Amino acid sequence: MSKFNENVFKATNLTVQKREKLFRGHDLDSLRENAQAKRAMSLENADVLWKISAEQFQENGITVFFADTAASANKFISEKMGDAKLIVKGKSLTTEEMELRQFLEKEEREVVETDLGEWIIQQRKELPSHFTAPAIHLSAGDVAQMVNRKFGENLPADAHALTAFARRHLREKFRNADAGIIGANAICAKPATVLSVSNEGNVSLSSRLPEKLFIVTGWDRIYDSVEGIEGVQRLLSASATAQEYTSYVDFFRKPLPHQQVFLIVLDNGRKALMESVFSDGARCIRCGACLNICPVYEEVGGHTFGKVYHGGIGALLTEFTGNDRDASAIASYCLRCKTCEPACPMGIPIADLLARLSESHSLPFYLSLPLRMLGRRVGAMRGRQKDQGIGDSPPSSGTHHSSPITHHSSRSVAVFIGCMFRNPLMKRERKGIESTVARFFPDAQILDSGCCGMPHFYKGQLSAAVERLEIIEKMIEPFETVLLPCSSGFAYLRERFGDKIELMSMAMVEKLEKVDSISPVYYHQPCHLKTGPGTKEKAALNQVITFSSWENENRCCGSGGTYFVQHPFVSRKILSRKEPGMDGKFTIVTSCPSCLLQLRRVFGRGRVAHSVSYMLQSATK
Amino acid sequence: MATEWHQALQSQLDDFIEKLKDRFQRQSISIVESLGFVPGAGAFVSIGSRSDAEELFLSEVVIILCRNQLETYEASLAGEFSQACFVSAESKTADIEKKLVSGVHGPKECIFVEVQ
Repeated sequence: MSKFNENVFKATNLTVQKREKLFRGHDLDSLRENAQAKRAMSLENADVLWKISAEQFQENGITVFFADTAASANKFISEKMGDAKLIVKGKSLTTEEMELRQFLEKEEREVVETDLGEWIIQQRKELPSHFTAPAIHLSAGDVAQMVNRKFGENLPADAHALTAFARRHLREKFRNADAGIIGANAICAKPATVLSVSNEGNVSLSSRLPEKLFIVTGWDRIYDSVEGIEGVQRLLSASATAQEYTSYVDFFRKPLPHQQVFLIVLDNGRKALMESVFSDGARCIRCGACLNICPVYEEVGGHTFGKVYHGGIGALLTEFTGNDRDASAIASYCLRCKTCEPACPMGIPIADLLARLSESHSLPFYLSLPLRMLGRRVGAMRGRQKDQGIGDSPPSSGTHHSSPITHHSSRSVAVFIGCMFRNPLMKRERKGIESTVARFFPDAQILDSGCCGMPHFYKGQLSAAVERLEIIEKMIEPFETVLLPCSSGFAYLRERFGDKIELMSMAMVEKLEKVDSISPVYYHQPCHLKTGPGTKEKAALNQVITFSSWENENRCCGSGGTYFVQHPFVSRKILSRKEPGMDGKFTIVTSCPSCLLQLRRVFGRGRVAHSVSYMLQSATK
Repeated sequence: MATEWHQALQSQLDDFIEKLKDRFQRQSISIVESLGFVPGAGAFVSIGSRSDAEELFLSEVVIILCRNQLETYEASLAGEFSQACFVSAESKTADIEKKLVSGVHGPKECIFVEVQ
């Protein structure tokens, strides 16, 4: 594992742990619902709110400029800068999007990033690798090496010593700067107030000491009132840095006596995002909580996973503020594991939005080729006459247990087997399911009609997914309960058809007695069971299986359906996090067939079992 | 930022600082008055000039006098001001390996003094 990976991995995990600790005991759901509602309401009224606030800012002496594009924003700032030579700048993703620093540097101005992380990466001529922690990928050793080489120092790899050096170096820049540039986290319309948060105090200094202040913000940063901001603000600091409050929240209503203040409001695709089917994505507050928890991000960091905006949400933001080629590339790295969604304080359905986004994009050739090849292989293995490939329509009704759509049964339980159990590598597990049905659910009808449509949905083949759902809806209509042995299919169909969809392993529990195993049994939680009723699977299975504790049970295995084909190296890196400390004889139990196949790649066939087969086997003994 | 109230408290503050002088030795200290404070959260300080900002952010230790207790954070924004800052802690960073370091740009220590 490279040092780079370890830096990102350690940092993101630490933040997640701190955040979980901070949220413990709080009614997080209500906090989020409240903040989301306020944010959504403000966004709906953005036009009116900007009009109100702009008028008031102008009356207060602040010049407001609405920029349609990054280029027009840069041009305006350049003109108003006049002969300013030294500029101190706070961290701002919007200005990164505009490439403002680079633009001003071309005019031979010295632009100094003052956020410590930003300053470090500026010296290294790199881009930020995280929304809120731009130098997260670097070690103290990397920073010491840069400072010693560039500034002729001899500092140790110690965060205190390095920070003290930056303090001395930047203090003079603050004192002598001609202009300051900061970002804004929020604009309150009534009363017109700019709000900017920081921990370091660099925003406070960049904005108050120079004679000219440029505040750059996005069109989507508007809020109707202080009350609207407060809830969001608290969630921002808690989600971003696991703090109840950041050290400083700066407010601006009028210029100070020595100042000229300009407020630049950038559209650059934000209005289009807000008006599109992706409008949920406009609620993003750039806290980076989704990145800290993302199994891909913690392995590859921001530079692989996006330029300015990283991760799944980054693909969406890049689509509107950048270009669709970059957005496609970022989206291809997303596992669609949905791990990010419970972490998002704004409740953005990131995976679902990416599915829609993928619908409008064709994958680059180098990524689509392996998928198509795999599709052909799977198609061939399924014995289908026509080589349909993975991206084509889902298979129609299956073989020996087929249930024609027109068939109506009086029986109230059905078992929807799902396409993964048609895979020859899952032959034993399929047999286990059939035996389980025969023994414990003898009246149930087996629906062996292939795919639930989830792979189509997350690959962006929405019409195929909808078509599949329509077929399934008719198919399951006569039944009170539909059991699924596949956890991914369960999570997907449960979200769409409600309580009648149940996880087969959980339904089995009441029919079995507890069986103790001689060797340890570990539980692997599939990512799709990290939200909703599936979160209770382990507790339910615990009534039958005594699980040993495993630190990595909730960690993603990197399978993601066909992800291991699309990004084999990333997938393998994620998988390797499951391994440490695993030795001797043990069994890992999971309900996800895709996870099962992936886990077998490192642990071997004999050590990984499907929950249904494992419980049947234990009961048979 | 001097006010009559501020001056009246000066002697008490001198005593307070005297007690802590070992900690403050060789460090620059500033004392600022807040518009209000939210217990457990922080204090709201008005910034009306460049020198106000220098006092609040350029010293090594800042003492914030807190007199008016506010119920909520929003209440602190109800009043009139040109610019302001809600301060909840000292200047800090965790940008290098997530190690918390105080005093990255502003004060290394921030002391809230509740005046009853």
